[in-house]
Amino acid sequence: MNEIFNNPDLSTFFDVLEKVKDGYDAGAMNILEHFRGVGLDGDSYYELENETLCNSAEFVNFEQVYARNNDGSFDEDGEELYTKYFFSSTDMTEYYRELYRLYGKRLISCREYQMKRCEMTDFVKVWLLNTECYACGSMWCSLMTKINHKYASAIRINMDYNNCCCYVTDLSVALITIFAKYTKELKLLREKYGNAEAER
Amino acid sequence: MEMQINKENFYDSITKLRSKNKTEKEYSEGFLYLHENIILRTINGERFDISVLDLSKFTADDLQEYIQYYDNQIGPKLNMLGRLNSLIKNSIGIFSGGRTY
Repeated sequence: MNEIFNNPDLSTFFDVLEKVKDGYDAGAMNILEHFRGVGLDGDSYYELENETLCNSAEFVNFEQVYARNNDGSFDEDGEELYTKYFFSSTDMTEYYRELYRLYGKRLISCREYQMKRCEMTDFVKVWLLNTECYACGSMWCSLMTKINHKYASAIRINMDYNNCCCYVTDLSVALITIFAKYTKELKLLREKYGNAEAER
Repeated sequence: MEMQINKENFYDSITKLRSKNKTEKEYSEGFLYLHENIILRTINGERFDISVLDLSKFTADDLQEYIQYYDNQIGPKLNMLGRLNSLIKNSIGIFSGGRTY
Protein backbone atom coordinates (compact mmCIF):
# COMPACT_ATOMS: atom_id res chain seq x y z
CA MET A 1 0.00 0.00 0.00
CA ASN A 2 1.35 3.44 -0.79
CA GLU A 3 0.85 7.03 0.36
CA ILE A 4 -2.48 7.67 -1.28
CA PHE A 5 -4.19 4.74 0.45
CA ASN A 6 -2.93 5.88 3.83
CA ASN A 7 -4.31 9.36 3.35
CA PRO A 8 -6.72 9.78 0.43
CA ASP A 9 -7.65 13.33 1.50
CA LEU A 10 -5.80 15.42 -1.07
CA SER A 11 -7.45 18.74 -0.25
CA THR A 12 -4.17 20.36 0.92
CA PHE A 13 -2.30 19.11 -2.11
CA PHE A 14 -4.97 20.33 -4.53
CA ASP A 15 -5.07 23.65 -2.72
CA VAL A 16 -1.32 24.08 -3.20
CA LEU A 17 -1.52 22.91 -6.81
CA GLU A 18 -4.29 25.39 -7.62
CA LYS A 19 -2.27 28.28 -6.22
CA VAL A 20 0.92 27.17 -7.94
CA LYS A 21 -0.98 26.91 -11.22
CA ASP A 22 -2.31 30.47 -10.76
CA GLY A 23 1.26 31.71 -10.31
CA TYR A 24 2.45 29.80 -13.36
CA ASP A 25 -0.37 31.21 -15.49
CA ALA A 26 0.61 34.71 -14.34
CA GLY A 27 4.14 34.21 -15.65
CA ALA A 28 6.13 32.47 -12.89
CA MET A 29 7.42 29.72 -15.14
CA ASN A 30 9.87 28.33 -12.57
CA ILE A 31 7.41 28.22 -9.68
CA LEU A 32 7.46 24.44 -9.32
CA GLU A 33 11.15 24.51 -8.40
CA HIS A 34 10.18 26.31 -5.21
CA PHE A 35 7.70 23.61 -4.26
CA ARG A 36 9.97 20.64 -4.95
CA GLY A 37 9.40 17.98 -2.30
CA VAL A 38 5.68 18.54 -1.91
CA GLY A 39 3.90 15.21 -2.12
CA LEU A 40 0.27 14.22 -1.90
CA ASP A 41 0.07 14.32 1.87
CA GLY A 42 -0.41 17.65 3.62
CA ASP A 43 2.48 16.98 6.01
CA SER A 44 5.09 17.18 3.28
CA TYR A 45 3.87 20.67 2.48
CA TYR A 46 3.66 21.95 6.05
CA GLU A 47 7.26 20.89 6.62
CA LEU A 48 8.37 22.96 3.64
CA GLU A 49 6.02 25.91 4.10
CA ASN A 50 8.41 28.29 5.85
CA GLU A 51 11.36 27.19 3.76
CA THR A 52 9.37 27.97 0.61
CA LEU A 53 8.50 31.43 1.91
CA CYS A 54 12.12 32.15 2.76
CA ASN A 55 13.21 31.07 -0.72
CA SER A 56 10.57 33.01 -2.62
CA ALA A 57 12.89 35.88 -3.55
CA GLU A 58 16.55 36.33 -4.42
CA PHE A 59 17.17 38.23 -1.19
CA VAL A 60 15.14 37.51 1.93
CA ASN A 61 15.74 38.81 5.40
CA PHE A 62 13.57 38.40 8.46
CA GLU A 63 13.65 39.20 12.11
CA GLN A 64 11.30 38.67 15.02
CA VAL A 65 10.00 41.72 16.83
CA TYR A 66 9.50 41.23 20.54
CA ALA A 67 7.48 43.18 23.07
CA ARG A 68 9.39 45.33 25.52
CA ASN A 69 10.40 43.78 28.80
CA ASN A 70 9.47 45.55 32.02
CA ASP A 71 12.85 47.28 32.04
CA GLY A 72 12.21 48.59 28.53
CA SER A 73 14.74 46.37 26.77
CA PHE A 74 14.06 44.07 23.81
CA ASP A 75 15.15 40.45 23.88
CA GLU A 76 13.95 37.00 22.99
CA ASP A 77 12.46 36.45 26.43
CA GLY A 78 9.73 38.96 25.66
CA GLU A 79 6.50 38.16 23.88
CA GLU A 80 6.93 37.81 20.12
CA LEU A 81 4.79 40.45 18.43
CA TYR A 82 5.37 39.84 14.75
CA THR A 83 7.97 38.85 12.16
CA LYS A 84 9.42 41.46 9.81
CA TYR A 85 10.21 40.13 6.33
CA PHE A 86 12.16 41.90 3.64
CA PHE A 87 11.98 40.46 0.10
CA SER A 88 13.98 41.84 -2.78
CA SER A 89 15.77 40.96 -5.99
CA THR A 90 18.37 42.54 -8.26
CA ASP A 91 15.87 42.58 -11.12
CA MET A 92 13.30 44.43 -9.04
CA THR A 93 15.66 47.29 -8.19
CA GLU A 94 17.10 47.18 -11.68
CA TYR A 95 13.60 47.53 -13.14
CA TYR A 96 12.98 50.82 -11.31
CA ARG A 97 16.53 51.99 -12.03
CA GLU A 98 16.12 51.28 -15.75
CA LEU A 99 12.76 53.01 -15.82
CA TYR A 100 14.23 56.07 -14.13
CA ARG A 101 17.20 56.07 -16.49
CA LEU A 102 14.96 55.86 -19.59
CA TYR A 103 12.87 58.72 -18.26
CA GLY A 104 15.99 60.74 -17.52
CA LYS A 105 17.18 60.24 -21.10
CA ARG A 106 13.72 61.19 -22.42
CA LEU A 107 13.28 57.80 -24.04
CA ILE A 108 9.96 57.48 -22.27
CA SER A 109 7.54 60.25 -21.41
CA CYS A 110 6.58 61.25 -17.89
CA ARG A 111 3.15 59.70 -18.44
CA GLU A 112 4.66 56.44 -19.63
CA TYR A 113 7.04 56.42 -16.67
CA GLN A 114 4.21 56.89 -14.19
CA MET A 115 2.01 54.40 -15.98
CA LYS A 116 4.63 51.65 -15.87
CA ARG A 117 5.26 52.27 -12.18
CA CYS A 118 1.51 52.16 -11.49
CA GLU A 119 1.10 48.96 -13.47
CA MET A 120 3.72 47.22 -11.36
CA THR A 121 2.30 48.61 -8.13
CA ASP A 122 -1.14 47.34 -9.13
CA PHE A 123 0.28 43.93 -9.96
CA VAL A 124 1.99 43.71 -6.57
CA LYS A 125 -1.16 44.91 -4.82
CA VAL A 126 -3.44 42.43 -6.56
CA TRP A 127 -1.23 39.50 -5.63
CA LEU A 128 -0.41 40.49 -2.07
CA LEU A 129 -3.81 41.76 -1.06
CA ASN A 130 -5.52 38.62 -2.31
CA THR A 131 -3.59 36.36 0.02
CA GLU A 132 -5.31 34.57 2.87
CA CYS A 133 -2.84 36.10 5.34
CA TYR A 134 -3.92 39.60 4.35
CA ALA A 135 -7.59 38.62 4.45
CA CYS A 136 -7.27 37.24 7.98
CA GLY A 137 -5.64 40.48 9.13
CA SER A 138 -2.35 38.98 10.26
CA MET A 139 -0.22 40.57 7.55
CA TRP A 140 0.54 44.12 6.50
CA CYS A 141 2.91 45.08 3.75
CA SER A 142 4.56 47.89 1.82
CA LEU A 143 6.34 48.32 -1.49
CA MET A 144 9.62 50.24 -1.66
CA THR A 145 10.87 51.46 -5.01
CA LYS A 146 14.21 53.02 -4.13
CA ILE A 147 17.20 52.53 -6.40
CA ASN A 148 20.21 53.61 -4.37
CA HIS A 149 21.63 50.11 -3.84
CA LYS A 150 21.29 46.55 -5.10
CA TYR A 151 18.30 45.56 -2.96
CA ALA A 152 16.85 49.03 -2.39
CA SER A 153 13.53 48.15 -4.00
CA ALA A 154 11.74 45.62 -1.91
CA ILE A 155 8.55 44.28 -0.46
CA ARG A 156 8.31 44.54 3.29
CA ILE A 157 5.88 42.28 5.07
CA ASN A 158 5.02 42.09 8.72
CA MET A 159 3.43 38.83 9.78
CA ASP A 160 1.67 38.34 13.06
CA TYR A 161 1.89 34.57 13.40
CA ASN A 162 0.13 34.71 16.78
CA ASN A 163 -3.09 35.71 15.06
CA CYS A 164 -2.55 34.04 11.70
CA CYS A 165 -5.23 31.46 10.96
CA CYS A 166 -3.98 30.34 7.59
CA TYR A 167 -1.04 28.88 5.72
CA VAL A 168 1.43 30.99 3.79
CA THR A 169 1.18 29.09 0.50
CA ASP A 170 -0.45 31.86 -1.43
CA LEU A 171 1.94 34.43 0.04
CA SER A 172 4.87 32.39 -1.29
CA VAL A 173 3.12 32.02 -4.65
CA ALA A 174 2.39 35.75 -4.72
CA LEU A 175 6.02 36.68 -4.03
CA ILE A 176 7.43 34.21 -6.55
CA THR A 177 4.98 35.54 -9.17
CA ILE A 178 5.77 39.19 -8.38
CA PHE A 179 9.55 38.72 -8.65
CA ALA A 180 9.13 36.71 -11.87
CA LYS A 181 7.09 39.62 -13.22
CA TYR A 182 9.88 42.11 -12.40
CA THR A 183 12.40 39.91 -14.22
CA LYS A 184 10.11 39.62 -17.24
CA GLU A 185 9.27 43.34 -17.33
CA LEU A 186 12.93 44.32 -17.02
CA LYS A 187 13.78 42.10 -19.98
CA LEU A 188 10.94 43.59 -22.03
CA LEU A 189 12.00 47.11 -21.10
CA ARG A 190 15.58 46.47 -22.18
CA GLU A 191 14.49 44.80 -25.41
CA LYS A 192 12.08 47.56 -26.29
CA TYR A 193 14.17 50.60 -25.39
CA GLY A 194 17.67 49.16 -25.79
CA ASN A 195 17.28 49.25 -29.56
CA ALA A 196 15.85 52.78 -29.53
CA GLU A 197 18.81 53.91 -27.47
CA ALA A 198 21.29 52.25 -29.83
CA GLU A 199 19.70 53.98 -32.82
CA ARG A 200 20.12 57.35 -31.14
CA MET B 1 -21.76 5.23 4.91
CA GLU B 2 -21.58 1.82 3.36
CA MET B 3 -19.93 1.08 0.08
CA GLN B 4 -19.73 -2.19 -1.74
CA ILE B 5 -16.46 -3.15 -3.31
CA ASN B 6 -16.66 -5.33 -6.35
CA LYS B 7 -13.25 -6.92 -6.64
CA GLU B 8 -13.63 -7.39 -10.40
CA ASN B 9 -13.77 -3.72 -11.29
CA PHE B 10 -12.49 -1.81 -8.27
CA TYR B 11 -9.04 -1.12 -9.70
CA ASP B 12 -10.53 -0.26 -13.07
CA SER B 13 -13.02 2.11 -11.50
CA ILE B 14 -10.12 4.19 -10.21
CA THR B 15 -7.62 3.88 -12.98
CA LYS B 16 -9.94 3.97 -15.96
CA LEU B 17 -12.08 7.03 -16.25
CA ARG B 18 -15.50 5.53 -16.34
CA SER B 19 -18.49 7.10 -14.78
CA LYS B 20 -22.20 7.17 -15.35
CA ASN B 21 -22.07 10.54 -16.99
CA LYS B 22 -18.94 10.60 -19.07
CA THR B 23 -16.85 8.30 -21.18
CA GLU B 24 -13.08 8.61 -21.33
CA LYS B 25 -13.22 10.51 -24.59
CA GLU B 26 -15.22 13.33 -23.04
CA TYR B 27 -12.44 14.32 -20.65
CA SER B 28 -9.99 16.97 -21.75
CA GLU B 29 -6.32 16.24 -22.37
CA GLY B 30 -5.39 18.23 -19.28
CA PHE B 31 -7.81 16.25 -17.13
CA LEU B 32 -6.34 12.96 -18.36
CA TYR B 33 -2.80 14.29 -17.83
CA LEU B 34 -3.61 15.07 -14.19
CA HIS B 35 -5.17 11.65 -13.66
CA GLU B 36 -2.22 9.82 -15.17
CA ASN B 37 0.43 11.82 -13.36
CA ILE B 38 -1.13 12.10 -9.95
CA ILE B 39 -3.33 9.09 -9.30
CA LEU B 40 -2.08 6.41 -11.66
CA ARG B 41 1.55 7.17 -10.86
CA THR B 42 0.85 6.87 -7.13
CA ILE B 43 -1.37 3.81 -7.35
CA ASN B 44 1.36 2.09 -9.32
CA GLY B 45 3.74 2.60 -6.43
CA GLU B 46 5.78 5.63 -7.51
CA ARG B 47 6.61 8.33 -4.97
CA PHE B 48 4.80 11.49 -6.08
CA ASP B 49 6.44 14.88 -6.05
CA ILE B 50 4.70 18.00 -7.31
CA SER B 51 7.74 18.94 -9.39
CA VAL B 52 7.08 16.05 -11.81
CA LEU B 53 4.05 17.91 -13.14
CA ASP B 54 4.22 20.04 -16.26
CA LEU B 55 1.96 22.99 -15.52
CA SER B 56 1.61 23.85 -19.19
CA LYS B 57 -0.22 20.59 -19.90
CA PHE B 58 -3.45 21.47 -18.13
CA THR B 59 -5.59 24.51 -17.53
CA ALA B 60 -7.05 25.87 -14.30
CA ASP B 61 -10.46 24.60 -15.50
CA ASP B 62 -9.04 21.10 -16.05
CA LEU B 63 -7.71 21.17 -12.51
CA GLN B 64 -11.05 22.32 -11.10
CA GLU B 65 -12.87 19.58 -12.96
CA TYR B 66 -10.35 17.00 -11.79
CA ILE B 67 -10.61 18.07 -8.14
CA GLN B 68 -14.38 17.64 -8.31
CA TYR B 69 -13.97 14.26 -9.97
CA TYR B 70 -11.48 13.18 -7.30
CA ASP B 71 -13.71 14.33 -4.44
CA ASN B 72 -16.80 12.64 -5.84
CA GLN B 73 -15.44 9.50 -7.46
CA ILE B 74 -11.93 8.52 -6.48
CA GLY B 75 -11.54 9.89 -2.95
CA PRO B 76 -14.39 7.89 -1.38
CA LYS B 77 -13.15 4.68 -3.02
CA LEU B 78 -9.59 5.17 -1.82
CA ASN B 79 -10.88 6.03 1.61
CA MET B 80 -12.84 2.79 1.68
CA LEU B 81 -9.84 0.82 0.51
CA GLY B 82 -7.63 2.41 3.14
CA ARG B 83 -10.09 1.41 5.87
CA LEU B 84 -10.32 -2.11 4.47
CA ASN B 85 -6.55 -2.29 4.45
CA SER B 86 -6.29 -1.30 8.10
CA LEU B 87 -8.97 -3.88 9.01
CA ILE B 88 -6.97 -6.58 7.27
CA LYS B 89 -3.77 -5.47 9.00
CA ASN B 90 -5.48 -5.64 12.38
CA SER B 91 -6.89 -9.07 11.58
CA ILE B 92 -3.42 -10.32 10.71
CA GLY B 93 -2.26 -9.12 14.12
CA ILE B 94 -5.00 -11.07 15.88
CA PHE B 95 -4.73 -14.26 13.86
CA SER B 96 -0.97 -14.41 13.47
CA GLY B 97 0.24 -17.42 11.52
CA GLY B 98 2.91 -18.14 14.12
CA ARG B 99 0.43 -18.85 16.87
CA THR B 100 -1.18 -22.17 17.57
CA TYR B 101 -4.49 -22.55 19.32
